[in-house]
Amino acid sequence: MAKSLYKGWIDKVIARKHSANSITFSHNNIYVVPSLRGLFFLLFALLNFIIGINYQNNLILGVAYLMLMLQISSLFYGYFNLHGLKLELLDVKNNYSGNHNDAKFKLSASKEVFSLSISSANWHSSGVLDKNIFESTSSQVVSLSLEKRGKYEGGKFKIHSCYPFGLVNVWSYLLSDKTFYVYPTPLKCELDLRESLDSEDDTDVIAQKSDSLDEFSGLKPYQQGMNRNRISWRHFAKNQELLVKDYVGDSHGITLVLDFSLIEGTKETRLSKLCHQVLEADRLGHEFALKLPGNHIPAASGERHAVQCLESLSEC
Amino acid sequence: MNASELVQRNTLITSLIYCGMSLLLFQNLGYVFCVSILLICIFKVSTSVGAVRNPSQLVVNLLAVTVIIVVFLSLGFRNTIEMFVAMLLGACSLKMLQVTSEKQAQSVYILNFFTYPCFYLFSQNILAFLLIAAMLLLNLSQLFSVTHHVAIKKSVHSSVRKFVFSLPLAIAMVMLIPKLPPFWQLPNAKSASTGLSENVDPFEISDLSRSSELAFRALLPISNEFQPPFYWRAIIHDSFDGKKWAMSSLQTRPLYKTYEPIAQPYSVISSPSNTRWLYTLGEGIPASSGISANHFGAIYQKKQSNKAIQYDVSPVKLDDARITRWEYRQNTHLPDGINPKAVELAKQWDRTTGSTAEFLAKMEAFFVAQGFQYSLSPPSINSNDTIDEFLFSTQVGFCGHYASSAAFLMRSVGIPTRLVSGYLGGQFNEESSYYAVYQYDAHAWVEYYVPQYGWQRLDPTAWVAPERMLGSLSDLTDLEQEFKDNLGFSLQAFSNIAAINWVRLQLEQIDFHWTRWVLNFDDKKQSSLLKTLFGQKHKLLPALSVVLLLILVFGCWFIYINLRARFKQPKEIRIYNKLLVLAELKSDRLTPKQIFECLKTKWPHAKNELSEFYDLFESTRYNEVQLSSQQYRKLSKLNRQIIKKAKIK
Repeated sequence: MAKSLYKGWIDKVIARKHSANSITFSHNNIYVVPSLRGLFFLLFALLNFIIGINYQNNLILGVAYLMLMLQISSLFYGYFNLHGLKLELLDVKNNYSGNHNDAKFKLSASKEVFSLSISSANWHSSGVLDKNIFESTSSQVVSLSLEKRGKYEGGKFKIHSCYPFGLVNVWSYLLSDKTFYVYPTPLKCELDLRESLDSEDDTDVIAQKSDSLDEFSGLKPYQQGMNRNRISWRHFAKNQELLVKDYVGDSHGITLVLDFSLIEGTKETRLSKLCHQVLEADRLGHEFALKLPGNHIPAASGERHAVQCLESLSEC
Repeated sequence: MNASELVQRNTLITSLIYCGMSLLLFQNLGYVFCVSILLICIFKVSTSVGAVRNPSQLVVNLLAVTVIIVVFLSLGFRNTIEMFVAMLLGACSLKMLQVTSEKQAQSVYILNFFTYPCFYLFSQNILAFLLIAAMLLLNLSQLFSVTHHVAIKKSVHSSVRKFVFSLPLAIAMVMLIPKLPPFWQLPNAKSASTGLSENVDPFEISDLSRSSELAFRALLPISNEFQPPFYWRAIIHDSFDGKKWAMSSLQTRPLYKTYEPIAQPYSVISSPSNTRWLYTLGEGIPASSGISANHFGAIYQKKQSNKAIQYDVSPVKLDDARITRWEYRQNTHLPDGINPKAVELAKQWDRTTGSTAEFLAKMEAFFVAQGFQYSLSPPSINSNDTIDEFLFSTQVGFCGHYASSAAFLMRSVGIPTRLVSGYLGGQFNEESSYYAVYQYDAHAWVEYYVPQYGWQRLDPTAWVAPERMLGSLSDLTDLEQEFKDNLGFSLQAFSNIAAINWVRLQLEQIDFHWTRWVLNFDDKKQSSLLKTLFGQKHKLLPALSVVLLLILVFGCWFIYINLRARFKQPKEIRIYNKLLVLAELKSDRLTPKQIFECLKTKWPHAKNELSEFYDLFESTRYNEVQLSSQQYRKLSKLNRQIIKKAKIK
């Protein structure tokens, strides 16, 4: 009970003090305690002290006091090591599940910073471990390894150093509000774009409307999955070329759709397949829509659209 | 340099250090152990140059068992401390063969802060102190190096500063923190130094090996009671078996006689010795703890220590006018049938004299008339009747020969006589006014009993070499060459070269103060120091002052660190921040350019100055142009003008 209260209080303090995408370390946000190795060091100082007292040996006694002083001053040196360092989380890259999400940090230091480690407190991470920073850099990358797809908050990063001598633990936190996505792992499959009318419209209405076609806007090369009714057979007869007639409608255009419900397999397999198809469709430059349970992304093309699709796949 | 290479290099250095440390402790740890450490070190060197593969776990374990066996066989359980240190060094050396990861190396370097100071258990002179201090500093640097993956050279540079910062604080703590008494008794390391031997058999030694090692130093008050010759008593030998004079069984019996003080107390700082017997001028009563006076008024340590110790002694006169019957028997006992000629000679003198004094006069006349010679390397005597041989044939010898012969002659006519060994003389150091007594000042003389008067001192050597009484042995000109030949290599042997002698005396001086003020800084000295520092309230204040000192030092440091970061900011930034505070603006959201626009609308009077300021600010911050001092002055001036105009509004 007391422990959970304490933990809650600590979390609250950290959340209050460290919620930012950039932090400059100073006296109110650096935490310093002796490390386990430091405690061993003190244990040996105590042993030296006992021997010094029992043999009335001033030199050994002096060594014991020297060790104590080294340990105490290490707390200050450790603090000073991080003091003045400015850390900024530039951005966390989205990536596919199974790969790393790279969090990019910018470090501005006016002096050397020894043995700096940056790690995520929430997820398994690697990248910046015991690094000596000799000048300001903006290319410190922490790789986060996440297994499950989804949308994540940048979360809590722990900044740690054991300088000097590994006798102390000096640390601080950075609570970022940046979000990032872990996309489903792409699963290789056939690109299966279905032609469909825009979502909400009733099929009958569309069927009616398809006669009184809207403005004819041009011909496009045929792609698999397009409605064969729209193929311009005239052109085929003439040039042996499969072209489809394209129309511009108000809100009921016919688009290519990637539909969750039409793919087989478990939910995750379907999402993985969809992920692959989105990438493939984007690569081929199609304009497509994505239909997911509870979410529909209208047809568009381009990188932004692809990212939006991938993000909604992650969140599904 | 990558991490594992760094660990390799560091462990190699450490391995060599262990080897050096073992070799320096050669006399304590034994040559078998030293050789095994040397072999381990060679193994380490060969693995690091790539001649040999890294040993497997099995090999290291086998080596460990071997080292343990070596330590047990060569040192045994009786030398507990030596065994402990040998085990520690052995284990650390073996670990060096195995260390590959940075974590293991760190653990070893932390442990070394315990291992290295163990050297102080064996030796505490100033050289040992400097050596171990340097080794600890190197160890700290190595810890830094492996922890932070920094080359050794650079880590030495960083560590020295941290070490030097802590050193004065540690010294202050040693001085100020009240000294605790020992919690429990621990076994002492054996001292390798020489000392007096407990049995005197001068005839067995043909070549007296003399050493220029310091025996002790004495601080005598300036007074008429302390005039040369200085006879420093240490061991009383009262049983003679025909060859050697053995130490008396009363040597450790506490003093029960009455005594009266005869002069002011004096201090003696004795060097580490392999015996418990200490030195007094004549008879004395110790005023320091852990030291007792024995039956003869000589003093000894209750428990042998291997360090330099300082003690105070009050010179006294024992009430020994009477002796018991068994004491009389003990001090006149001689084995039958040896040295017949000497016995005959003594009996002859006895028949013609009526008192002890007359007998002594006869004996002195004999030694002077016969032309006895003093020599440090007399011919050896291989006979059962050694004293006969010496008195009537060789007639060359040193103090032991004369004392032994005189005591024999006196005992054979029933005068209670005993042999005393100790030191004679002392070299006066004028700068620090102490007497230094060296091992080569060792001397033997006799004490004889006169009823009603008690025990008297007699030095038969003085009849043969009277100049020996007044100075140190090193002052004897006619023995100079012989003396130096006996010394072997030491600075003392070159004392006739002025420069070397000067160096020697300076080193002595340093050693004296080191021993007196550092090694023997005990609760007594501490309390007198604290009294001068804190006056009468010296019970509570020192402990408090340590805490205050630490808080003060670390507090100031902390403030300094925080302030320095602020002052380190370039001037233009500081002025800029000041302006922001003045205008009550927050810089988080806006660029400096926008801020200046803001300021211009806020303080329209200062528009021109602000523009000028921004130009300079921009050129140094964004175009990275270093401003000249003139431009900095301009910045300050603009700042003043802006503030002034802002206030007018």
